[in-house]
Amino acid sequence: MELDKCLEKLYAGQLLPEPTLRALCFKLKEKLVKESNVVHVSTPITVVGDIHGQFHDLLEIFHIGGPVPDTNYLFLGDYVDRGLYSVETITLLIVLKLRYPNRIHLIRGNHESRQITQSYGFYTECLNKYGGSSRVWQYFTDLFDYLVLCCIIDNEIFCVHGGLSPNVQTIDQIRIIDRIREIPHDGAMADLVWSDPEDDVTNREDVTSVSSHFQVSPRGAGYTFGRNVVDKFLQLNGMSKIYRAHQLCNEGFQIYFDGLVTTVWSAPNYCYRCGNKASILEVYSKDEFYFNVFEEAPENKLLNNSAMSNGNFINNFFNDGMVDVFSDEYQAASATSRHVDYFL
Amino acid sequence: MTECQRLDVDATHFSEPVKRIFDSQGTQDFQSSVAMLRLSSYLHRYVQMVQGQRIPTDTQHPQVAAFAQLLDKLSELVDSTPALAGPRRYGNLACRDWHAKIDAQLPQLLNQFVPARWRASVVELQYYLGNAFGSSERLDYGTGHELSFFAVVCALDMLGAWGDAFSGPDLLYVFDRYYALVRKLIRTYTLEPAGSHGVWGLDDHFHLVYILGSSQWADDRTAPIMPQDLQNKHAAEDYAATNFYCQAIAFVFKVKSGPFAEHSPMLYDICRTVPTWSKVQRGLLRMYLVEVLNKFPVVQHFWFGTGLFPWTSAANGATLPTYEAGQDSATTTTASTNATAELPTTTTFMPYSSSSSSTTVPVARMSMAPPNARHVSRFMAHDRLRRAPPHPDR
Repeated sequence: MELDKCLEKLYAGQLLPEPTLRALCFKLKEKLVKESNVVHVSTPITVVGDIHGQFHDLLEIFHIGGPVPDTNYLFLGDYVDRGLYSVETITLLIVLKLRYPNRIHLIRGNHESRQITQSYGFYTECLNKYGGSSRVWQYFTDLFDYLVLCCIIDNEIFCVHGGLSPNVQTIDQIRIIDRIREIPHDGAMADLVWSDPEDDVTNREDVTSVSSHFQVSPRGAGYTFGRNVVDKFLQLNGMSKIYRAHQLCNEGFQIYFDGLVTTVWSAPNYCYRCGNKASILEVYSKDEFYFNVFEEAPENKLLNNSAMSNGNFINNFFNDGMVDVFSDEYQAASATSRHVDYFL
Repeated sequence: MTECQRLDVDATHFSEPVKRIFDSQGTQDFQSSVAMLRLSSYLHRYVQMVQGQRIPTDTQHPQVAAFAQLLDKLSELVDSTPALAGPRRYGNLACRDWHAKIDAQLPQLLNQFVPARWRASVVELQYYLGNAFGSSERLDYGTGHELSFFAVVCALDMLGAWGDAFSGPDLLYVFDRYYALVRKLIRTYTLEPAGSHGVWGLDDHFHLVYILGSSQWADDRTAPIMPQDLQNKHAAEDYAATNFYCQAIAFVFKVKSGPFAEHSPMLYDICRTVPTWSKVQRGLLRMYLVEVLNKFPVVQHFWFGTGLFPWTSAANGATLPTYEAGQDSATTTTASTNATAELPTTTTFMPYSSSSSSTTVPVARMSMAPPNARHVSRFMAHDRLRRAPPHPDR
């Protein structure tokens, strides 16, 4: 299928057929495998944070930030999970990347992983939208292994999904990571997609120590890092600041350490309830940038291909009659015949 | 075997709970533990106890009233710890102050509540109760914290702290006060949904509340409304005071915007397609075993002492495998504390078992591998957290 034809369908909120997806993922892998772990890009460019399947809000981003290819985009990861339209979101981004490879750049987030997507919705969504088969999920997650880890804007601004790692002092150390794999539980690659800045140290006695060292993250993966860690990294690598995503922000963005680290968040009213704003960060040069803040897309109606039209969400737990949930038969059956991975 | 067996005061050793679940293997071990056996036995017991009962507005039960007072104290601390003004990323940092306050007061409050001869158990109770109100570090709340409160209620039952006349309405009353406090925390400090599955989960924060609510109406003949009536949000509000299922849905409507079918498709599908409350209850129980009790991201925060929820095999009372931080493989020797070695095998009792044929509790569960497990496992060789244990705030 022609890419432009695909785009037309996707912008209308339609799904692409499974064989097409397979071909698209394959094509993009071919392109991405040639990329370095760290990709260099130039201003002007618009930086976008977490989307999490909020497809209407992605369309809103192209509306307020300008369509591809008129505007250059750098997406910081977390395209899937939690929202209702992860498949539509990631498919559109894949096709845009294939059609305009120099106009749009996609970084890997911690949700672009087999393990995480099995728990947080994307796996379920793929099964729901593609007839109970996990093949589509496999195409997508195999592709995720090829996404790059970081971008550098104008040789000045370091962009990553999560943050820094105690295992990474220089950007060259990122370049030599063998990235084409599932995100591991620890090590440099895991930290880049999992870590968070931490500046709430005002009432701690050990301010210097906390600021100078990595702390174990309460998330269970990655680390938190303070100002001194950032200073050291930037100085050593000749960078001026860090853009990252990964954390919900009430105002759509959050500035740490007097601007050395900036969080960009692009999913407004996250999960239909957080009431937060979202933003995209339009970067014109190192010192010229603008937070384009926006709220929930007004047109937030269900797409035609909605997965909910047939009670797909609940069938396996609710449909098999008078079964004793504590019985061994149920326990065994639920393990083997379960199609849908639900809730935490 | 039919009556409630209490923990033997002299044969039980209590100790500070520690983290035991570090990876999917630990999650699997948990399924066959005495801790799991106790949790699932009490869950089954409680869903029967609340059937046909409404949430009461008051209680005559002295211990239940005393426990409600304890929760009231914690609630007053919320009032005296207002949300901080000024910019913040998302969750309000005042929540950390609240956690610090309750952590300081819990030992004393629990010592007042727990009968003198059970004081040794406070060290364990305190962990579960302290963990029942969300994470002070991450400023979030989820089903794992709800589970932790459930563990407190079970534990007090095991200790006999509820007395003999602990009835369904008493249980509902305790949970009602708890949920009121948690919702207050969520709204006051804008807690993030812990590990929410977004639209692909049942609810951002809760699961047990839906089980209790559907169990209240599980005798379908006496239920005032059917699941399908909840497509109308006014029905949920009408029964929110007396039924947990409606109360939980009413809270969802309060905090979420947009169409019901879109922001909560699973709840919507349940009320649209599941015909009776008994079926809703069964489905939710199944989900709970799989999606809460058998999910690593949730149960990794459930820690284990030696008295209430021991990390021992339900089959033979032996200590389950334990991992040392930074170690590659499991050390299957008994845990390093001499306390566990002394643990009597009598701790593998099954409370409330065999009252009917349907109460058999699984000793072990199959692992929940995805359909393409072989494919995935290639990439998951590093699926093991090797971390120095405990957070300082636990």
